[in-house]
Amino acid sequence: MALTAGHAAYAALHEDGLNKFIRNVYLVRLHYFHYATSLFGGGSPGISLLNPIDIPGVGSVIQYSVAISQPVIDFVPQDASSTLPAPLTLGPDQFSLTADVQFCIACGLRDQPKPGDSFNQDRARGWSPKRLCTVLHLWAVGHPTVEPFGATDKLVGLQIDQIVVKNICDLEQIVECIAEDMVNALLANLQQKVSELALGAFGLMLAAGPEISDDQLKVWGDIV
Amino acid sequence: MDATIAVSESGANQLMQKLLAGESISKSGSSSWGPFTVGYDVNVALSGGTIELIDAPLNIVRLHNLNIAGNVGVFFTFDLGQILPQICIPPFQVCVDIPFIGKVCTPQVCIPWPPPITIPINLPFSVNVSADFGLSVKDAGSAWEVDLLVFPFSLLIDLSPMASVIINQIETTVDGILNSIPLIGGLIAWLVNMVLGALSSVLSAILSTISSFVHDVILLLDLFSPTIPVPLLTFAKTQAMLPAGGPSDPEVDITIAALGAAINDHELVATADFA
Amino acid sequence: MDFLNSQQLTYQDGYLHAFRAPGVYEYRVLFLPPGYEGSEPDITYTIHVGKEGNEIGKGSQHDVVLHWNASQHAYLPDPVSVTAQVNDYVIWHVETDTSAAPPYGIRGESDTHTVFDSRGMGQHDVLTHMFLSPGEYHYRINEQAEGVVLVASHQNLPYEVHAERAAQAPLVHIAKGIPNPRSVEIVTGQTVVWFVEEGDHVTISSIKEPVSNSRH
Repeated sequence: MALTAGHAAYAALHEDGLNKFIRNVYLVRLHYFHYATSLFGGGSPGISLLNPIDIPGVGSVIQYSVAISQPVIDFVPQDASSTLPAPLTLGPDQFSLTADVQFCIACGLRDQPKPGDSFNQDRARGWSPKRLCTVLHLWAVGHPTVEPFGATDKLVGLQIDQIVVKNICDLEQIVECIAEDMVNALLANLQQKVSELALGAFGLMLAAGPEISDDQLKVWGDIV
Repeated sequence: MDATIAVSESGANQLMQKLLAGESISKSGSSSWGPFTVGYDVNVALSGGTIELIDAPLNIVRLHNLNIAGNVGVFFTFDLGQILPQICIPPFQVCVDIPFIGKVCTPQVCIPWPPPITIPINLPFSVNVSADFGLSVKDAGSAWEVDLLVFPFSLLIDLSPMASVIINQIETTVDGILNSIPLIGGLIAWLVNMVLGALSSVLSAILSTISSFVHDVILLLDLFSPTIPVPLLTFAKTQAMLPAGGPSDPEVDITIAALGAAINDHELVATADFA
Repeated sequence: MDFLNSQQLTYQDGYLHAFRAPGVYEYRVLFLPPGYEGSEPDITYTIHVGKEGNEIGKGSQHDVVLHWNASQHAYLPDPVSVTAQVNDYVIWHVETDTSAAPPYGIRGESDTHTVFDSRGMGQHDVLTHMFLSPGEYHYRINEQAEGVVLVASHQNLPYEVHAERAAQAPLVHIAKGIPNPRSVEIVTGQTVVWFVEEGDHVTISSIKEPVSNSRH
């Protein structure tokens, strides 16, 4: 069966190619994946800044960090090495995403921390919070998206519909909610213009797709 | 195989038309035949045609009914004095009686022919050809190319049917020049025929030379060079996936480390491997 | 428009001189105005005039054709020498296959003095000019009196009509510097003949614009 299916052109990004792209994003724009309050280096190169969380009744704040490992994308059909926890399944036109999320807090109370205090220097001042970390494993399933970009072009992307974070019991739903928004925000940064999906050989105008199948994200269109 | 781009025959036609639009050439030449010096300027452009994609292992891009069209601007330069005998007028004696002198017969005036004249003539031409092209992938430094290389094909350019256009133009011009000379009315047709007679003995050689010249100029086009591959698709090796967004957001690239190309199911399919 | 100037003769012109006295005359073909003979070629050609001629007005015509030789930069007369009798007349004109030959003059001398000079025509000298381009040719005699030659194009005439007109050469008499008739109408291919009936050092040259009232 001809790939172009009646259209002038066809472009497809294999999951291996997408994962290489995500690897490059991870190398060059680490701050998409690493977030922290100032105590944990938030605001420095590679780490996006978070605001600390107020502790109710304490009058103090929690310093924390969130680090997402390089996500791995699997387009349908499901890779043999991939296992998805219930209720997640990979169906037609879907992708799965797995990642580890390391969540750390600075545990231990003190008077209001002074601006400019670093984690190591605080030992001399008598505040020695512990850095407590935990790693959550995250699985998600989603679908390809397309939205207008300018008068004639489109942006193709991925969006998670369902996410599972394991091993944190009743906090799962809360964390899943937060994680779903967080991962979708990450994926939004990775959208690509349809016009450029032919790797620059010619301009492409979307006529059908995007569709995920055969381990690929596929689009069809006209040559412009 | 990290990415796949496929182009149908109709898509390949579109790409080919863009390629053809860039294929044009102009060249000039000149030579002399007897009293005629002929300069010729050739312009050629390509258009049209339909593509047939022939599957691997042949991997042939076949172009049917490609139109090769253009114009030869021909300049005929010749000196009437080299072809025509000198004519002295009037062809009869004119005498007048002058008092104190006698019957004086005024001298004939022998007309010097004008300096060499140049007559421009346009010879348009149009021919349809079919040609096969082989497919290959080339590492072009900063890009990968999917190139076409033509197989030898036959091209016939024959301008001999334009002989009458040339003869008519030269006849009209010479007739106009001769008509401006007084008292040769009875001679003009005979003199014009002298010029046309001198021309006809070399005209087929002239047109054969110009036809060969046009043929050779057409084959100078890259598309028809058996040694110069012409890119149909070009992929920059470094693809900017995310443009730079500020000091903390440098550009995110992927690099195409290898490219393959073949024809399957009458589609041109390029597959890319990323680094 | 034609070039019309009796001081600078071209292939369209003829210059005639009638010999009234027997003798041997040497003439030269010159390119410069009077006074510059020192710069001119030194070659002379001979005209022998015998005394056994006819009465005045009944002499014979002798034609001398000047052939331009570009490599020698000279007009070579044919015949090289002329034998004539009293009251005969010689008419010089040029035959050339190139219009690039320079204009010239004819100056002839006897043993003692200049006898004739086309650059200042004497009594009974004649200038002929065949008009090849149509136009209105205003000219002056000795930069004074004016005449006009109206030349129509032959291109609208049937050949027979054209030939019939070309068989006529209008004659303009110049007496005391005045042309008569003052106006002549011809077609291209016709020759106008100016005859110096009375006068000396006569020049005929076209002028760019008429001094008299415009005809338009």
